[in-house]
Amino acid sequence: MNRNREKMLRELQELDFRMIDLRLYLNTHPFETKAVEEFNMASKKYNAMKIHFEKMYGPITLRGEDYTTPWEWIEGPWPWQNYRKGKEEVKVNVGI
Amino acid sequence: MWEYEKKLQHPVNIKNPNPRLAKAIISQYGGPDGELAASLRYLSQRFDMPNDIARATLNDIGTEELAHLEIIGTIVHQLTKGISTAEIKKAGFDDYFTDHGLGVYPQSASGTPFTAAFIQVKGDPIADLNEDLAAEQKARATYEHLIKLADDPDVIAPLKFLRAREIVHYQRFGETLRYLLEDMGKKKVYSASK
Repeated sequence: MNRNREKMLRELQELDFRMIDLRLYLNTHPFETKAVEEFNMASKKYNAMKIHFEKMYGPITLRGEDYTTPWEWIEGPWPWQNYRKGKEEVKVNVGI
Repeated sequence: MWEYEKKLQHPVNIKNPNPRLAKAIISQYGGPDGELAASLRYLSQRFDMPNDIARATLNDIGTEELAHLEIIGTIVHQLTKGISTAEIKKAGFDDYFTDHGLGVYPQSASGTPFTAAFIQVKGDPIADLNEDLAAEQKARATYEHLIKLADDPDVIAPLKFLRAREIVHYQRFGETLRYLLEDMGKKKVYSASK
């Protein structure tokens, strides 16, 4: 397991969660200035961190504009995979 | 439209397989009060909602439920990944294994396949939002049952997160219903005349 990747991903998940929760709150409290400010702040932090994460570990969403080959999007780990007892799956050669 | 984000809403990293527990947790994947039912219910009901608060709330909660569906699928997958035939038999997982192997199939804990009969879209905002409030409570209760059954902290942590989200959604649906009733009161379309 890549500890730094997991740590950064965790921080992204926390910021993302703050945004998800605030967005639901703001839907029913559309005039809460403080909550909008908090949303904007979390969003700003998230965007900066996402750029940094994607540079190191590959795309979370395909919104970049300088991708190269081999196509990085297919590379694991996919979110449902974990690395139990060091037994990682053998990389499938797709014929590149 | 939707766009996939290559991450879970909450981390799941299960070290010890437990097929018996997986068979219980699958209910939140495709069971009567599961995440698939929740998502489909809200995303379908949103089309005929009469105000922006209700449209936004159903849209966004329906979307979040899809992320929860992925968390549940991940838990089931990690609880069953690479288990042996002996483990399958010992855990009573053989009936599920016969039909689905180690795949993740939307069904209830008792084996009923997912069906849209689990949900309703009444085309009546008051009726629909009351169903949604009940749905969140039923999902909360299901998570509490699962937390009682689970003894692995790696499984309990995401289940607790999901349980907490049901409570937040219940709160937001309650506020949405209150706004809707106020709106309808103003327009005086509240009575059931005819």
